[in-house]
Amino acid sequence: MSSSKRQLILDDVVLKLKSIKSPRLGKVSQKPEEFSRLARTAFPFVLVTVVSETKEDIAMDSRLSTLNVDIKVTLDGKGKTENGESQMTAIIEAIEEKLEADRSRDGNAQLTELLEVGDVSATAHPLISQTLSFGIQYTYLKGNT
Amino acid sequence: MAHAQDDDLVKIVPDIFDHGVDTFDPELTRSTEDVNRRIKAEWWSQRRDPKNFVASKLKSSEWERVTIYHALAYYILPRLSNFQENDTFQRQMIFYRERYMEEFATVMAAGFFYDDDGDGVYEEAEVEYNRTERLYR
Repeated sequence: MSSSKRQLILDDVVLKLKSIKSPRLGKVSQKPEEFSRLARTAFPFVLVTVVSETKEDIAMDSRLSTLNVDIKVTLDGKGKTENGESQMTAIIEAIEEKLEADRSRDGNAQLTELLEVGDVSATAHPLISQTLSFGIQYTYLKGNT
Repeated sequence: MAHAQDDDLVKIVPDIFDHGVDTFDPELTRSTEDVNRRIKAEWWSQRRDPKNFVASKLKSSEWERVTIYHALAYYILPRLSNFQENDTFQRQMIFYRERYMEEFATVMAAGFFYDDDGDGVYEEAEVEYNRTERLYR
């Protein structure tokens, strides 16, 4: 059975993030993890989640859907230090650049746009995190997401 | 050449590449060198001139699991571990260290090939044995 467009889009996001080699990313996952159980090498940890999805009719049989996807980067920054923040900035830029290189998500979406870059926050010492919010629009035929 | 590759590692620990590391080739290469050194010390050098040992004359496939267990215990899992309390990687290190010791002794006792004449063919006459009674803790 073929995957839904929604899944193909998310798979493409994860695939593109995993292809980033510089700056180095750790584990890229769609599942939340308990940080204390992660390997050292899993940081910077990147979590991809669908926050919400809105839909509207564009024709009798067609729907326009917008996936709101959060990409949360968590790194072991030993506190909110200047070094941690500059590392985070480089990662955020690399993610933005990579996902905007193909805004069609390998032909499955109409548009990918960066909506917001959140503030750097201290998650739990010594971890710091920052979230990018993307909107990804795609169309599908009724009943075939 | 290393006795084991990334693909061989996955056969033992299927999720080993879920931790943000693309390859463990350097760790497997280092473990191959360590395993070869131990073979040389515990078998070859007991009977022959240490200078004449040629590691490439060993049959790599026979040392694959030994190398993987060694790499996991001494290089890979320590790299993953955050060395905090109840860290699962530390428990695995102990487990694989024991597997390494057992497997090394088993291969030594069961017999292994060393291509003595260097013709690229492993013959029955080139099977070596080394029973070790050492107790590892």
